[in-house]
Amino acid sequence: MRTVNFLIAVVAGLIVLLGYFFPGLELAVIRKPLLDWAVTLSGVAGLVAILNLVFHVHWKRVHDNHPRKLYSAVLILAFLLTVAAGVFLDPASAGFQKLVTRVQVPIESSLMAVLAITLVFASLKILQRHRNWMGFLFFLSVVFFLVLNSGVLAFTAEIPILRDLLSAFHQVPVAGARGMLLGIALGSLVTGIRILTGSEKPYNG
Amino acid sequence: MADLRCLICNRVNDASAERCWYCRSPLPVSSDTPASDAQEKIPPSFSDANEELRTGEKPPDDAIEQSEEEVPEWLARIRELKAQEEQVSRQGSDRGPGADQPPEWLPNLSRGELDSIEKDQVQKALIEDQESGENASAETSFRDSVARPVTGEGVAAKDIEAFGDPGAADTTHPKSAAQGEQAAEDEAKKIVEPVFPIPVDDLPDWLSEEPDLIEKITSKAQKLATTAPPHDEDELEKGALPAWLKTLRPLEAVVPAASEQEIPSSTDQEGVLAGISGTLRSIDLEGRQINPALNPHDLVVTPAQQANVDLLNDLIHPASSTSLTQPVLNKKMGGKKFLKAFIAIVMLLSALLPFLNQSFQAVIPELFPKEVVDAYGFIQEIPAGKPVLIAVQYEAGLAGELAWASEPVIENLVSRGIPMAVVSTNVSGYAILEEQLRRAFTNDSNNQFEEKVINLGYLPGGTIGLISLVRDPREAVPFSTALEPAWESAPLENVAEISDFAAVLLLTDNPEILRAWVEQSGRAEIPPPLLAVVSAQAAPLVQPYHDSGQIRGFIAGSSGALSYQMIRQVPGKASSTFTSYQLAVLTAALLIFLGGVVTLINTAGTGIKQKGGG
Repeated sequence: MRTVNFLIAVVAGLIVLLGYFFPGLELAVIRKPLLDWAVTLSGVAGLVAILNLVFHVHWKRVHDNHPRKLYSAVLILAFLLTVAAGVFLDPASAGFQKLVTRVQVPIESSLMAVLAITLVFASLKILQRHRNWMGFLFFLSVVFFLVLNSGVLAFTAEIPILRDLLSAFHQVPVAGARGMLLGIALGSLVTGIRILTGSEKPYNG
Repeated sequence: MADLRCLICNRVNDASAERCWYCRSPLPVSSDTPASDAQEKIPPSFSDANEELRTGEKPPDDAIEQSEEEVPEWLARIRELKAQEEQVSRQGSDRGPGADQPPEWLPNLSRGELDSIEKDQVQKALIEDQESGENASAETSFRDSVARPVTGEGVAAKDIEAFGDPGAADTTHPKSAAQGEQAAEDEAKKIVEPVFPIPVDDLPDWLSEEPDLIEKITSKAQKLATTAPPHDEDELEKGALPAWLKTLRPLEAVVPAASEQEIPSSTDQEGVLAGISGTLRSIDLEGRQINPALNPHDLVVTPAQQANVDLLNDLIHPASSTSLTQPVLNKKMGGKKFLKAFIAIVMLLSALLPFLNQSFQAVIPELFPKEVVDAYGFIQEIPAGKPVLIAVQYEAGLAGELAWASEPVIENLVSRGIPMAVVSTNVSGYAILEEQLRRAFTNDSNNQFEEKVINLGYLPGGTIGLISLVRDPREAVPFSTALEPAWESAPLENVAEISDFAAVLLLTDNPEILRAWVEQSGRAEIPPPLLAVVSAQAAPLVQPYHDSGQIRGFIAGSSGALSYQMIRQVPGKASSTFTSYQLAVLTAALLIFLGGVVTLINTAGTGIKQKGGG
């Protein structure tokens, strides 16, 4: 069975890859249904994951009298209500959209606000935990780039030397981001090659 | 010493052998003549016999009588077999209308030891006998009888083939008939007896002299055949754990070790050492128990790992790592709670102050970022009737920032009357954006939301869904969220490919999504122009794509929105939100700086470690 999985993955990957390099070939005839199947499978996989989470994990907690069964019960109830709303109210319905924007957005935004305060609190103790040169450099970088990106140094636009210096500092995060992007691209390339050659088999679970 | 070659099977045997090792035929008397020469000097009588078999002609009786005195034993046996074959063939030719039917004994073979292949061969040989005639039948039977090796099954098949027809035994030759009956009895006995790897009758002489062994073999085989319980196919056999698995079993599951068991010192009653006393006995492996090691997998923890464990323990249970007394701990915990509450209140006030006090003004940037200027310039050049595809993927938690950042851009599109199609690659994006678009259209009385906006809803599949959208947008998202054909409506009726959009405006907080759009939209024959509104945290990762020209422009966070609003010279919410943002960021920086300074002062005596890294 593992051999069959390997063959399917490699052949499908090669067909899609060759479609990139040789658009003139008639690979689109095969590539198109492959991609359609992948979209359908990903949708079904999401549905299976949700059903597993609700009816296997949380339903089991309620059934087994888990200490946190109340949260699981609320989750199941919310899930059923959302499904019912999605079925009886179409996605364009204002009521269904308000269900998302009035419930989901405030909750997640609150979590982000809590995260911001937690990060500030953790940063206060950065030198207490990491009392070394790297910790000290990190501390200075955090403070400096927070001030720089806040825009309060806009007056430096009138001072040529300082303007150029701060402009160079603005490029530091970009330089780091370029390095990250290069690393991501190389990592993606190597991972793709490993999957195509069978060295990496994420489909075996 | 010269070897003897069997005259029947033509195989080489030892010179001391009396019978052929392979076909059990009598061997000629040993002489100094080489075997090859012996075959060349076949007596005339045997040559005649072979010639007779080939031609089917029978020599005159007087010739047989003349040579009978000189016939050796092996030749006599051949003649005897030949006579039996002739008798069988004659009987087969003399039978009546039922001769074509297989004899009654043939189906009974299925209950015997012959397998299906042997039965087919027997049946085929009999049918060929009847068809090909007397001489051909005799030759075939003779060849089969001499060519088949002498095994338990082989003997049975050969004899059945040679003496198979019971009707032949009672006709012409009484001797042959008696032999046939004896052969049939022997065969029936063999069929009843269970199969044993070594035919008892064919045991070598040195082994045949052991009467106890033969008796043991036969009795054991009979016992197996008669007393073996019927095997239920559905019943699974009880498995025995292998030794390596037994070692993994818990101690409670293991009975006292085998060393405590006493090994009887009596003589073996069976096996290869049966009857021999004083031998070293083998260990009863099945009954042996192996004690597992008490600590088979000792956990080795390095000092660095132990330090990480302690650090994690401190984070999870802050009070457990200190040796302070409970009142001191309570005081420290209270101080931490106070500090947390203080930070939260200060941050909240700094964010709310610009909204509470409108006179509070932030420091406005005097230089506009190039990416914002490029984005504004490109949007201004979009023809009024050409639609823009707005692709959304961001978490609901960042909806506030992205709503503020994208507001001036969307207002610009609405004011210019540009049609828009909305597609979301996550489940909540289209709902959040539609509400924002409706708000933007309420401020503009010249355009209606229903006329200018088509919501294509959620596109599943992530990057794969994106590929399908780039390849054929009409097929990827055929319906709107109102469940109507999306591409028949006025804003999109002229759009057949992704390149027919004036631009793709991407709203995201994740640079990975932007990268996927850059890569996949580049597959189109005419890639659509890309614009982006991103979170401030993604700005450094998006900047390289703008520098390389893969996206035409982008707006990052509140500062980008403020710049766009200032370029556009239209008042909006960006100025007030930017003030709040700027004040909160400065407050955070100040708190972190003060906290660091206080920490340095409090721990000044300990010094700074020389070793870098975390």
